[in-house]
Amino acid sequence: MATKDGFIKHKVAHHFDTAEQEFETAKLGMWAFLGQELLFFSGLFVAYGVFRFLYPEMFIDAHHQLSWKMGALNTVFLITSSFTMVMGVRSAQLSQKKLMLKYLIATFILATAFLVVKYFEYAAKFHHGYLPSNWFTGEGLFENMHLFFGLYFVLTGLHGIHVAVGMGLIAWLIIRGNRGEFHADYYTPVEMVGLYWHLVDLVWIFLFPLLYLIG
Amino acid sequence: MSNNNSHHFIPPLKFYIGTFLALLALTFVTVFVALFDFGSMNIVIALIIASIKASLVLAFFMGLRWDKGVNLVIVVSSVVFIGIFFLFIFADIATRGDFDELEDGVHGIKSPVRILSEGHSGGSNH
Repeated sequence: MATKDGFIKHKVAHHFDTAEQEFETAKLGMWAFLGQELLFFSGLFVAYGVFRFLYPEMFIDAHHQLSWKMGALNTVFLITSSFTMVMGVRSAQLSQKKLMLKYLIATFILATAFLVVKYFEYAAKFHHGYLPSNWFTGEGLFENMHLFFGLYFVLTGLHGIHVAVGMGLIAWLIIRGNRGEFHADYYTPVEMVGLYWHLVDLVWIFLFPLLYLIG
Repeated sequence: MSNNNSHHFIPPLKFYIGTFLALLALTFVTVFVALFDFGSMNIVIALIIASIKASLVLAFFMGLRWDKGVNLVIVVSSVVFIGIFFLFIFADIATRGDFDELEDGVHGIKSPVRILSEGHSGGSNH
């Protein structure tokens, strides 16, 4: 199957007329999924909006327990990973296999760094008892501070799960890419995972100021 | 190898590098403006900056600028429906009074919010 340049030729599925049609179909499906993802997260953002509207002082007091420096560091990690991802897609479009693998590995490492920082943040919250609902044992001026940490853990936790899923997908791309499956004529999975990864970045762009930089 | 995909438009590198630098700069701006207190405008400013960043990611990293219109329609309709979601929830939440008189007495909509220690400004207490 492998051609002389080390790439594996892609076979267009029988129900598509052309590779172009196959690619555009996959992309439309991916965007429909991403549109759903936005709506899926929006419920939590609305909950955030309602509680912040009702208890603005509590939110300001609670967010002092978060480290904006760690949040900013993670923002830089995610933005950089989005850049390496888009460069990985570009390398695939240009059939630059080695460069594509380098960019994908860089993206994977940055995602790992994001989750490591997140681990240290979570560990500090657990240690001081800044937890949701009945588990809250932290110190604060307001007795309903657990509401903020409920939102914090569900929003960042759901986002963190997306990062972990993205890492799995990037690892899958690295394995397939290493076999030579992605090149100028076929890079659909790279493009789709790229879109997903940018959405993860997009959600964090809103989470960072809303959780770490209140008031 | 077939040539079916090779006419895909590959955006010039400058768009990706420019977007990357703009996102880093705007991250710095959003942290910097958070040092100042603009009162109720704080969240508006933060959301405007975040929306600019999100638009840059959508337009360039996600390629909507060069993409088929139908993908943009999906994103825009998602955003519109999120807007409706917020609008209807806040049409309720933001127009309520602070108290509700029911058969068993007067209830504070925002209760229970009790300040646990003194010396902190703000915080409704009813």
